[in-house]
Amino acid sequence: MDLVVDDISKTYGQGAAARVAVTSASLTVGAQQLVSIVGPSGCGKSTLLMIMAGLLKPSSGRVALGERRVDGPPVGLSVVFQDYSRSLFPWMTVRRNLTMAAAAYRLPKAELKNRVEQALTSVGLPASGDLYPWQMSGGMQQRVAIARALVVEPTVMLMDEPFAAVDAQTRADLEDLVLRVRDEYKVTIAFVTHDIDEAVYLADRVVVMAAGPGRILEEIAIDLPKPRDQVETKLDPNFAALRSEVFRLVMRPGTTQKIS
Amino acid sequence: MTRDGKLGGAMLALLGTASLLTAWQLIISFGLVPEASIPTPWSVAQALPALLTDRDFLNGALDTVTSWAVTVAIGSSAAVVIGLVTSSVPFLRRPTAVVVDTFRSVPATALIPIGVVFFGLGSQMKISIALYAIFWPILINTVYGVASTEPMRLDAARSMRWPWWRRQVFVILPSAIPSILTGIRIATGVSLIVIISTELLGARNGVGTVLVQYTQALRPDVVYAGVLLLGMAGALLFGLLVQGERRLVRWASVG
Amino acid sequence: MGGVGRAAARVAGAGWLVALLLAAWEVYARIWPSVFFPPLSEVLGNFSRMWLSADASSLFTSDLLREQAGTSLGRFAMGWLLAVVVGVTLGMLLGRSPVASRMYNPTVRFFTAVPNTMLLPIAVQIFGITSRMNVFLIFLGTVWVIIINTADGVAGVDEMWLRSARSLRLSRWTLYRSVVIPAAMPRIMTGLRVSLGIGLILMIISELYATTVGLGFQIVVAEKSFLYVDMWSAFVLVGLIGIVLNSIFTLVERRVLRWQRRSSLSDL
Repeated sequence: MDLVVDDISKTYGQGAAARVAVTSASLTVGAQQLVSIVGPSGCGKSTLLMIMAGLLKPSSGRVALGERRVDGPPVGLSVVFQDYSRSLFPWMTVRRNLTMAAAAYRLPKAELKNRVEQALTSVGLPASGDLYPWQMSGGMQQRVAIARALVVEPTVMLMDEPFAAVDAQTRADLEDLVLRVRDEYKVTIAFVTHDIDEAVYLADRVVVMAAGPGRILEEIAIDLPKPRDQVETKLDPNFAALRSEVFRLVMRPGTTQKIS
Repeated sequence: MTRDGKLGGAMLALLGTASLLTAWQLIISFGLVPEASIPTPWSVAQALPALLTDRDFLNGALDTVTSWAVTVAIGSSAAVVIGLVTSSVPFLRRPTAVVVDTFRSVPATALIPIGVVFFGLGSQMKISIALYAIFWPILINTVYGVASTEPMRLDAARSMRWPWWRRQVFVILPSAIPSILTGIRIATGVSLIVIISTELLGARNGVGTVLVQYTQALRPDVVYAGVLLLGMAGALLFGLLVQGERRLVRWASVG
Repeated sequence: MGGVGRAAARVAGAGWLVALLLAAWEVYARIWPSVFFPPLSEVLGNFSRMWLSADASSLFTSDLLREQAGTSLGRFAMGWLLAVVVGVTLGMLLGRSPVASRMYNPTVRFFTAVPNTMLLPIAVQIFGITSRMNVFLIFLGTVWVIIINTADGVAGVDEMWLRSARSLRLSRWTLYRSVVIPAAMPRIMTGLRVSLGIGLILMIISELYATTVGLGFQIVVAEKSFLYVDMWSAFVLVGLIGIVLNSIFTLVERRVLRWQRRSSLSDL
């Protein structure tokens, strides 16, 4: 199912105090695509993602998942938040966190149990169900957050700077984990990040946003070979070229020249 | 702490307590206060066994503890429910805060004569006044706790399509629990103060009633022994509450 | 809308629930009349006869009010202020000295746990029915919670702050005045706030139990004489005094803790 964003604007406040967060943004995330949204801080990329998730009402424009208009959190869409320590429920075990994620889906017990164990296995934490999130490292907690998003077997997964708070090695592992679960669960992903390498490495398409007011500047197709590899892909000259192009767009949006 | 450190700590605690007991004894020995009004530590210690086997005292203590338990149970459930409801209705938040600020400033003991007029000298009077005293601190702590709910957790719950009641029970209530427990801890102390106050002022049963009788019988040693026991029981109860609290909200100290 | 209008709207927006509850009192007492529970309007009428006067030179208070409230508040002020001075001083000592804190912690915890109205018969025994008895009870009932909170606050001062203060070669006095005390202030204020509430409770109970003058005495005398409207207006006066004292404390607290970003209930 496609996730279509059609001419979205979002303004906070009213009158003189009004602040435009995003203005006339349109984009389409095709089925089973991974689209990165990258931009400097204050460009409204997280706002846009929250609107796509149905957690925030746009001031104008519409979002649709398949045929249906998004006007609240839709069925089959999961969100992985920026800060695992603030989005997981610390008073529940990992297994309970995952089970509760599907509470609104009314799955048969056995089926739910299977899905929970499968999600934990997919993120590489098959034996951690009885731990509490705060007994785990940051990287493990973010894996739990991803597993929690997978339990409902979503068609779309939205990720809001999910790896901003983990160290570099863990980050690389988690990036590869995202690519793996994308194939395993056949899920469409929109991935917000401020890290240009990460955006290019993961994506089929990179959407570059600019600040003041927040808007979409450019979309760049990433035609790097798959499967991606932390060493091989990043050595690819095409990777370097795409990376510099995105970099130029993000850092000096006024002076942009397409290189290709 | 190491074993040695613990032992040293216990020694110091003993030493400190002993020094205070000695000071108490010296004050009486030097006649700084008349012995008729303050008994010596030794005579207080001697009164302990008598008090512990005194049926009236034990029945009174049971009555006090029962009133306390009923008060805390009713008071906390009512205050928590009302706190959750008023917090979830935006236009009630500030008015509720003003109500709490107003009514908790009224010293509950001033209600005792009024309570006696309404309910007489039985348990109903004790419990009603103590309820007034503890309702506000628990309510205020519930509201604080709800306000401290992490917004991202609420977003997560919403993105999982949880309905209103499930967000209340599984996100907002657990988030507020540490603060609610603090409120209940405060309420425990306050309700004991108020309940014993009603007993001093003539409530029919209770530990305070019994100790007033001993005061009138001019047995200060027994009264002091009673205070000593109550203090120890209170400290024990307080310690248990803190322990239970720690166990219940292990997650709060870390995350 | 002018500034005054806006302020009025703010007060109305925040205070309507209190007004509603007071109105409920009035309505309830009118529908189900009872000598024990007179309507609010009647209580307020009696309140102004008892406690207020037309004399501007005494701020419209009656002689009775000045005499009774003056006595009660005098006792409260002496007992509580003494407790603040002694409690903060001892708390500082315990907080900065691990040995002293180990020695005397059990005693302090013990006295914090004693339901302190229990000390009332003892206080009467020592001092008889005098104002010294009330002062003593208020002091002894409030000092422990101040000691504990001050000691915890001082002991909990961030070691990094102390280290950076030492690297600035501050004198001991400056260290206390400009680092330790401000850092411990939030906890100290918490202790003071709790002790204020307990102090008022003890002020009233000690006057209900045994005195011949004071606000608590006024309530109990009215009750014993079956003058229930008088009883209620004395209660309302006590309530108002409690509200005023707590509000003053809140203002002081806000001023003292200005530097601290804090979400208080009134910010909601």
